[in-house]
Amino acid sequence: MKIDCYISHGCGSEEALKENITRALKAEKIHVEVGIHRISDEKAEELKLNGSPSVFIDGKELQPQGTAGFS
Amino acid sequence: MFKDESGRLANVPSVDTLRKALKERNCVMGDACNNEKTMTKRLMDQIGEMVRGRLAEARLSQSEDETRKYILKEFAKTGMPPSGKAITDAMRLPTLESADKIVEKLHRADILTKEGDEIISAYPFSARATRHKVIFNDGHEVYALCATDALGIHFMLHKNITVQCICPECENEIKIEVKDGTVTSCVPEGVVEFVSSREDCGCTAKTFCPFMNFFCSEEHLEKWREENPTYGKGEKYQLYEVLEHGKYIFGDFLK
Repeated sequence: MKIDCYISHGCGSEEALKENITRALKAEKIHVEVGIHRISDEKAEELKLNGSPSVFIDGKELQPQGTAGFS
Repeated sequence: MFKDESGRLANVPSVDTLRKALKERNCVMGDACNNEKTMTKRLMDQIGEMVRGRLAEARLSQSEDETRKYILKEFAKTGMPPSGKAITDAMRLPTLESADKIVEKLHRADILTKEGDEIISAYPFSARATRHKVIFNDGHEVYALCATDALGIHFMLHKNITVQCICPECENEIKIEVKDGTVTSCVPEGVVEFVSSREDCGCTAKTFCPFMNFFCSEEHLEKWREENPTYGKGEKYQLYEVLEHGKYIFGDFLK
């Protein structure tokens, strides 16, 4: 299993996101690889991401971010 | 924005939302939806429990535990273990043999390691040069047994440190500064730790520690794994996770 987090350069959510992921993994007593990817708006567009952060578990987006822009 | 379990919006997914998603994914991966069977304990948690468990299982007397702490404090001060005579004097033991007996018990419990009569390591310190050098503010240096131990020294001694490591792939230096419980600087950025899941038996210092290293980047790690298939199976950890494990293992090691 793998978690990939895509975060825009200006987004300040990284620490809170990492903390929640750490707590969730600890609570579930599992290990997964966690990838933190800081990406540009252009890259976000290329990946068709609509929000920051966007979180994927094994390639499946958690609550797809359909409305907000990648900020 | 993410919705939590009660429908409230937040910038990041809540712990409960993440747990639910992880459980669902884990059930898909497992043969049956039985979390107890399909979930795996993290390798670093296993190692941490092993190190802490051995200390608990050793059932050290107060005198033995004080001796263990003295050895660690001397390692921290000088980078080297104290001699048998120094232990005898400092702990006011009746004879040199009394000190040897305690050291032997610590060795058997895998709290320290010896070669012949010589102490060569006591978690998290190594008397011999390793890839993980820890530098204190006053400039003095010690060696840690592994990447996690290097960061753990900060929590054990409550001292700000700089860790200098060598990336096993490119042999370039990695520099990590830890102050007041957080990483304040990391060069290069994107450093990750890899813990090789070897199946050898024996003491942790010899079976796991040599295979717990920092790499410059995920790219360097992946290249190294391809080039070293014998050791390539294992788990990757982000720096903040290593910090957390270091704290868990060594935070109360001297209490």
